[in-house]
Amino acid sequence: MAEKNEQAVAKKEKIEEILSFLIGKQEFAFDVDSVELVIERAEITPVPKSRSYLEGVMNLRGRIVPVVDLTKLINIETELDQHFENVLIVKHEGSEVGFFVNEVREVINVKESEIDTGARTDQFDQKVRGVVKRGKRLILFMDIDQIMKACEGE
Amino acid sequence: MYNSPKSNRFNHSSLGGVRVSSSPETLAQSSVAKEAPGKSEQHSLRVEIEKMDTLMNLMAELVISRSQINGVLKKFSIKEVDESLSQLSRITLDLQNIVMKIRMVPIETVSQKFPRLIRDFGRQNDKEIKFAMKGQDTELDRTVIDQIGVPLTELLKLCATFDIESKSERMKIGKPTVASLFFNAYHEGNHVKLEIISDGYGKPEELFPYEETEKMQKTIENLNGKFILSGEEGRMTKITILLPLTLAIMQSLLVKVLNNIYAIPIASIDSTLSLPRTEIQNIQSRDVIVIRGDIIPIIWLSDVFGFYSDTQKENIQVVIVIEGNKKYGFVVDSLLGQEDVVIKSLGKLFYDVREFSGGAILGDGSIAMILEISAIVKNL
Repeated sequence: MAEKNEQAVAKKEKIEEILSFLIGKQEFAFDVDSVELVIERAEITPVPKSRSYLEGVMNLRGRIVPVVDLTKLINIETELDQHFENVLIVKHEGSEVGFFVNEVREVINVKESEIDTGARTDQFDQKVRGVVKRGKRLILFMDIDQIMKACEGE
Repeated sequence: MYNSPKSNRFNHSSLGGVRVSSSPETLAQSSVAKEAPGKSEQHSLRVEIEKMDTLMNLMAELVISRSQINGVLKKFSIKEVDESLSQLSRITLDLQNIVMKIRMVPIETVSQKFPRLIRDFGRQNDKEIKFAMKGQDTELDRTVIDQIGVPLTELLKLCATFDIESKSERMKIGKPTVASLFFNAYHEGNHVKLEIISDGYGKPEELFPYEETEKMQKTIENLNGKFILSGEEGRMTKITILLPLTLAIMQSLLVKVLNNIYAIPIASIDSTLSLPRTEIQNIQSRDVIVIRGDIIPIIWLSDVFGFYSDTQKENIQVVIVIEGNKKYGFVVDSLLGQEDVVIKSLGKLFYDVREFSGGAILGDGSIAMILEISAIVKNL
């Protein structure tokens, strides 16, 4: 009986599917449901007078999609001439936003209890939902709602 | 009653033989009435909005594709091909126009509920508001109509709540107890203007710190529209929403500034010219040129966009634009030619960028920013 109960509890615990990616040496993750696709970096047209983390816009199958440099948005220090090869397209509340990434790694299933919310740093404040440990890897699981809000300049 | 055979024939053909009228005046009136939007349902067809959207997207792709073909074949200048191409251009233009027209819906579809809304609102809040509307048959693109309903309602409510004084207060300050609120719609040039006018406090800016307005402003900006506020303290508040008539396709002049391509709306262009750099004069630390006695201020687009440019070419390329009856000269690096572009919103992330009204996807898949002339000359 006790065993059964435990099983039920274990079953109830929410499992999050996250997609991890690298920016510089840091590994990040978004909720996999929010990621629409990953594409190779294409031509990006700058939008003069826009905020510094907005790299410009790109043509995604006839749609104009803004591209964000996450390192500038959340102040991650990177090597000076960081070059991004890929763009991760996130779909959030009907609008698409591209994020520069170096490499997309994998989809990981994490239990809610495995997301360490105590380790939030001041630097990222609300934008990080928690840290996920996988062996030696420390993955910053980002809160996509907060990231999108930050992109919108809120 | 006498009808000449000629006017009879005219009657039959223009009104489908439904009615025969005796005088030219009534003839003119009835044919106008027949063409008035929303009035004739006899020969209309119900179409799902998704199908219309698909048609619109296909239309946009056709325009892009045509530009592509045009771009490739221009190099060879084959007479027969050129002729066919110009015919293709004409057909696409006609097709564009008809698709746009089909999508137009009168503003009435959203505004018809306003009178009741305002009346009920007034009753509940110790206010008596006389509400009137004009130009409700003004047509807008279906997409705009769908999105404009909520913001307009919010705006009217805000006006009724914060701009119009209560009955007792109006009595105290000697205003008529019945307040007036108007909602007008009309065409002006390439725009549709929606006006909300009230005889309240006369401080429209004060309506805009509210949270509700933020979302509304974004909606309007996403539609490439803008707000114009004006007022007379204690007498009149006026909020104007300026919306583009067509959402999708615009004739533009493509220009190059450094390595990027920008689109300037043809409707705003007066002329283009190339002139020696030495003709630029400096009046009160502003660059100007004098053309046929007109002093025209010069705006270096590379400066506006914050690019560093050290070009010292002998001649400069200037696009003379007209904004609010004044002429301005935009300096660009080169002119690439005229093109019909499909306007797309840059999205809400760029809400604070006023210099561009949107982006256009060009034949080769690259994106050109579309200049918002009024915002650029404001910086001067």
